[in-house]
Amino acid sequence: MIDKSEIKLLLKTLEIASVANPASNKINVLEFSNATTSENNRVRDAANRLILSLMETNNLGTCIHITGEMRALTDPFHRQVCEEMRRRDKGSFYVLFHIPYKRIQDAFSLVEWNLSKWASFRLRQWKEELRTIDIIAKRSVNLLAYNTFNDIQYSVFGHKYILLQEKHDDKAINKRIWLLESEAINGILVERGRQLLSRGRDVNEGLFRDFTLNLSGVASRWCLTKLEKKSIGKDELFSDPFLRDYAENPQGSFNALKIMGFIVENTDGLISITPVGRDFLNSY
Amino acid sequence: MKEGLIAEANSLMSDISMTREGTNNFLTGLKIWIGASSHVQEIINIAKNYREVFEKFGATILSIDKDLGDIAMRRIEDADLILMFAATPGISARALEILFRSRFEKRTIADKLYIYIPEDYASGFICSRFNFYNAKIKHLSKSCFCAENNLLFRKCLYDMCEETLNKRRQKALIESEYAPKIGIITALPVELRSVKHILSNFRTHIIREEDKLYQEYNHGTIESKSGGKHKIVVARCGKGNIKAAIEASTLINKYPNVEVIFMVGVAAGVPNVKDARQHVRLGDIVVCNEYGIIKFDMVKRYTKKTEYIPTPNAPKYEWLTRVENHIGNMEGTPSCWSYLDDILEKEKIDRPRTAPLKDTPWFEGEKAVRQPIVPDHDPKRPRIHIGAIGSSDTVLKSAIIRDRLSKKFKIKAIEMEASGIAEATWENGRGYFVVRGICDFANDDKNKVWQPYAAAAAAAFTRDLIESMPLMEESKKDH
Repeated sequence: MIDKSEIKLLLKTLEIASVANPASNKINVLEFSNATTSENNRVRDAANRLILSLMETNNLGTCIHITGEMRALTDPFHRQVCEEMRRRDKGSFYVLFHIPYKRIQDAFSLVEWNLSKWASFRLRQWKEELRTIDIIAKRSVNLLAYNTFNDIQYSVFGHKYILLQEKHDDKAINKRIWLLESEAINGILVERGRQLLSRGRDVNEGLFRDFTLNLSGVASRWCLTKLEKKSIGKDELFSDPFLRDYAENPQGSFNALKIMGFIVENTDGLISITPVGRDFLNSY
Repeated sequence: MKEGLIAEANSLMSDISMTREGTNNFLTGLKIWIGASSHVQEIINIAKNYREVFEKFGATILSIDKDLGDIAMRRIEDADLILMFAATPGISARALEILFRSRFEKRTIADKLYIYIPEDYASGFICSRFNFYNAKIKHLSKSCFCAENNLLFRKCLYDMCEETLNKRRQKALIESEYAPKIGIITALPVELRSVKHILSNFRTHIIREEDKLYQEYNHGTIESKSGGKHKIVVARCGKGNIKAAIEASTLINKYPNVEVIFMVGVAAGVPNVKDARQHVRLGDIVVCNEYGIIKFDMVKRYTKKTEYIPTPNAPKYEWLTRVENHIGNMEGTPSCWSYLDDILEKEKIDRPRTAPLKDTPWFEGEKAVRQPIVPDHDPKRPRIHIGAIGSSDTVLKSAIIRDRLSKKFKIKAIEMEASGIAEATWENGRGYFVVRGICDFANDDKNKVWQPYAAAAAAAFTRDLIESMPLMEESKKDH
């Protein structure tokens, strides 16, 4: 049961999200979470289960995430849901997220921005980061960029469901979350979402794939294997006959490795492999 | 000419094979489609040779119908890499159609499509359309599109190696995402709910592949008190030993790193009102001992007698040793009680007060016998018993049969799944262990009142036990 103050906050949040006079609508609160990690996870888990069950009955409806930093995709269960939607040809979530437009043209700049945002709420974990990048690279979601953001964040799906977050600072790790059932409010927020999407810019998810190819490909492995033996200067690395003869874009691999934190360059231009870089090299 | 290509491929791949494998099957697992003219003899020869060489190194070559219908598009989408030699108008047009349809049908084909095109065409209309669709275009001199020049081959091979490595990396990442070493199987939803509460980093992995069974696995971790986290996978099998054996085998097949499977849930207890320490009460916990699981429905039935012929397998040795030491060292308020309280609170379960009374040991004539009380033990807390556990596919509701089995096999609990788990793990070279909370006495008065509490008690003790087990050194590095 949620108390009166929480209901008041819910109605206020809906108002900010452009739902006029929300109290006039019939709203069923399926789940509510206080601003704690475990509670937030519980409600998100319930939403993911709901999406999976809607998939079974072909009732997914319009699926939109209005987000700040696309953190929903760092949730492994939600990644699985998105992947399942793609695999079963059930459409995909539109994900509107905040990023300066100049960053969406280039794979490295795009990924670097996202990693910096995901890292702001927890310690960096390269495997989780890469799994999230992979899911986008497979086009399991449809990304749109929005370069200014100061809106209530929510997700809509299944014709009548809403996962709503209280207004929060972008850096807030936990927040109050409601999983709601209301056809009317879903309709309003879907329309609001469509308006926001129409103002956003399409992001080529293929750029995430380009990033992973640069990161995992031949040139990258070549560099990491060399650096595993000793640190060397960038010029020496790039003048390697193998890279010169075969690799089309060794700079791309270098950038990808650096962005993921697998290599570091010191002030003298000497490049070294990092412990996570060794981990990555030995992982496949 | 093919020998030249093979030598070229060997050279590149042995350079790359500073990575661990040899070159022979370097492209194994890679599915490719090569789109090339079927009218220009030079291109036909190139494509034929390339296909043969790539196949030699392990790649699977897809064959796609010329008509780009829905089936053909699906097959193309199934490819990991699409190589198109756009040296002729026909192939350029097909590449454009694929790109167009990929975008408007929201397919991923364009991301995997590599177009090799003579550089003379770089400023032409076709190339500008390729660029519009963000295609990966490789410009080469026209002379490369002949059998004698290996540069085109080298470019294709390099792109294939890139894709192979990326695919291999992705596969390893997916496998490491779900690499549990401990499996827990429960039978009833009430048991599963309690077990979920003992896991940290909980998440669900639902698998529903075409033509395969629906599988739902719950993943999480339990922190070891010696450092590191045990990776756990939990599944629910439903009632009975056959279902349990199937689930255990499926789980091992799906997660080959699983070393031991725990059966955690509720069971009937075997009371002993004459010996307080041997008396198993409702809410107590029974874990298996070295005699393991007695499959008491494995019998030879003669006209006048029944001969029991179970062949029990011992539970996993290290867990048996650990549980004996763990119980031996339990003092004061063991942490499993706080875990139990936590589950009870989350599941809103109260410890029941009722006890079934219609049972032989509870009555002497018309007079009810009091349950014996163990001194120095809080009667509201479960006691933990180690002993043999009886298992069959029969719901036992007979105190007489229960007592007969107890006398013959010294069993402390009776349930319906553990022998299936024991058989399946034995057959698959894995270990098993059983933790059961006692919810009834397998008598006429058997009911479900104690099930939630007993399930919670079993789950809480399982957490406590797993926490007490150190991880192997290499497992610690996973985190």
